[in-house]
Amino acid sequence: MRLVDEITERPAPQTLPAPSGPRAPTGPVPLIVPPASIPPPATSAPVLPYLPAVQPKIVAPVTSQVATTPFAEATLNLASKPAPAAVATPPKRKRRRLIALAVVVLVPLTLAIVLRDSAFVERITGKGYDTNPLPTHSFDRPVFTGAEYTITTQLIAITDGLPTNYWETEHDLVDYTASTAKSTGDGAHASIVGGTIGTPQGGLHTLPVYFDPQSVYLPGTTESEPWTRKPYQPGWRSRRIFSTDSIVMFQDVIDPTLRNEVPTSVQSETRHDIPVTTYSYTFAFADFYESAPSLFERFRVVDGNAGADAVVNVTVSLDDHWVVRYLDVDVDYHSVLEHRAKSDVGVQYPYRYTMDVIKVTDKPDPVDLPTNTVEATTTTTTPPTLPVVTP
Amino acid sequence: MAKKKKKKKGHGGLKFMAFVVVVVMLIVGISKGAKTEVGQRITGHRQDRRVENTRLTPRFGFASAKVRIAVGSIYNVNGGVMDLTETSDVSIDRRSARASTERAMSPTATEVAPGVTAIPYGTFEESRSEVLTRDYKYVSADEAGWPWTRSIVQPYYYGTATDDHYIPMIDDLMGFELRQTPSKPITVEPVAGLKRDSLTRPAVNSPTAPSDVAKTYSYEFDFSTYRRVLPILAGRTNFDAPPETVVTVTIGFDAVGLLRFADVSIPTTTATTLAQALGNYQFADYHYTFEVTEISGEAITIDLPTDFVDEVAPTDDAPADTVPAEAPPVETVPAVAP
Repeated sequence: MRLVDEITERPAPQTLPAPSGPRAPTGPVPLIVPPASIPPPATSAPVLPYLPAVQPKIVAPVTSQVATTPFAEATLNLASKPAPAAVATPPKRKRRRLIALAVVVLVPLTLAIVLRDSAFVERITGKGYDTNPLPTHSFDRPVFTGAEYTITTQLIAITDGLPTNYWETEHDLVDYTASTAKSTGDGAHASIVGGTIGTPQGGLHTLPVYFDPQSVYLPGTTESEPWTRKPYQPGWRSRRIFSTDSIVMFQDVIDPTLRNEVPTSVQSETRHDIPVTTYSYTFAFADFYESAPSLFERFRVVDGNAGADAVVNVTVSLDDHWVVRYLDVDVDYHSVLEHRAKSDVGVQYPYRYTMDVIKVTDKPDPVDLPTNTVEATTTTTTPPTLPVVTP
Repeated sequence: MAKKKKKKKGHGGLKFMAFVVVVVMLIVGISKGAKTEVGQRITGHRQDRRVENTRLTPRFGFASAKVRIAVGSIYNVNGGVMDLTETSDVSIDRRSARASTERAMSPTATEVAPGVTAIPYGTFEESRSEVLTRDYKYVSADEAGWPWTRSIVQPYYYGTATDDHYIPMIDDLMGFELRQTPSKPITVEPVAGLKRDSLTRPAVNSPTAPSDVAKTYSYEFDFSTYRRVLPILAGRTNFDAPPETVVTVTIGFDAVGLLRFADVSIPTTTATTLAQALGNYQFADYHYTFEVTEISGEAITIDLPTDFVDEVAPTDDAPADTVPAEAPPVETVPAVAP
């Protein structure tokens, strides 16, 4: 309010009221009659009744009735002087303005030149800053209680004299809260003819396995046979399916080294109805470790399987929470075939690993454990089929 | 007068409104602008994106190195357990891609009092020598006078001493999550068999080589986190423990970012429980130490044994990188050149 009062207390520029008729005397009549011709003023500047402190302001058009009234004409001598179009700026003031303008321009310019390499100016210009759009920090894992994902490993071997591609797929459905999981393994194969992988022939094996915190449930040889419940082998490795770390984050795949690589493509797409940004990288097999050490550690099983110049393609899809929704590491199988498989007939060499997250959820689908079970006769058990490469 | 005042009030109100609008626009503009890239830089919230902070440490090229690796294990033998330490002194020559290792296994010494180290009663001493090339592995016989055994190795160099990245760089180990994990103050506890007075490393013998551990980080996290944030180190330690097990990690790098020291341990009780569950003659590791004792820009000579027998007869196209078996023996024991 105080501010309002201060503002409103400021004197407003005065205007001359426009006379509506012959001027009526309102005060004492001046005793001195003005001479017939008024001598010109001493200075060339007109004497205005009020000059605003900040900006000269013409409050009424000079051609209006106000300027042409006899009183104004007599007082301001406007008849013999041309009406000023604008208030002329004194030369001294003009100089001051020029100096101020020069200061305003030159000081920042000088500062910008002198301090161009300073940290603060670089903050403004962006010089000295990394332009890579990928972040330089890790992200918290979103809270989820269930997940469904597939892990596919592709291998190559010489089988019956023919180069053959093998698929081993593990489809996991995990309830992390209840610590129950269902893992279904599946396999397929196809011959490679003329450098092209044929249509997968499935049915090599389908092995659903159930997990709870204490046991693993293995199916019988036929559907009518009861399931076999076996306690885990000593150790905790076979229980890693219950770790939410199976769903990897940005920082688990893209380390500072891989971040430094220039992606061959970046594209927005949708995977399982989730919008993702997909980054693709390509490097030579000899540079795999030095391009992506953390990823190489995950996929170390391919070490030594390909020639130094073999092409490695890496594809990573990240969602809005920086969860890796899709991860694919693909070593050129032609090189694996020439480098290893042909000299070691019958042995399957892994060359490709794909993880596809179908969903992570707060409301997991319940995993119903088999009820028709028999206890295993021995305490040691063969670990269930797990992918060649652990996620 | 009242008329005049009223007029003034109206004019000032407009100015005040304009003032308020300008202030609001300033506030909104600043808050929006602070979220932009330039705004974040000006406010100092993008310092992690300074080039010097995101630039990778160049890989350090060395010609030879000597590394000592010690692994503490609980050994289940006939229902009882023994605490054993296997020490490997590894000499690496990168030019010839050869590595020789002197392995020794003995009962773990424990510090029974400050400065007093006691070796447990009982004898369990084992030692052997190995020479690894890209193609063959030579292992000395258990008894003196017997020839070495040579076998073909699969070309899985990674993790072996012949791998170019056997001594990792700081950027290999320290990912984004580990960088954000606060390092604990260093606690140097005298570890049985690995007693040391400080973290000072021996000086190197090359003017271009690093001289000492320059940065040391110490952490304590659960086993799941350890596997997640230090996957390369976790891949070298053969630990198996429940996810909630506390893991203590200390890693030290020299001035050029080369790993010079790593120490990882879990409680011995966890390893003892596992060893007992695994059964007779089974090991469960609980402690791992990796220490680069020497690094040099000059190559060293690692001789191959000449008195050896092939474990599996090499195929016709097997590489011949060695002295032929029938060659006259020059030395019967592999020697690491000084």
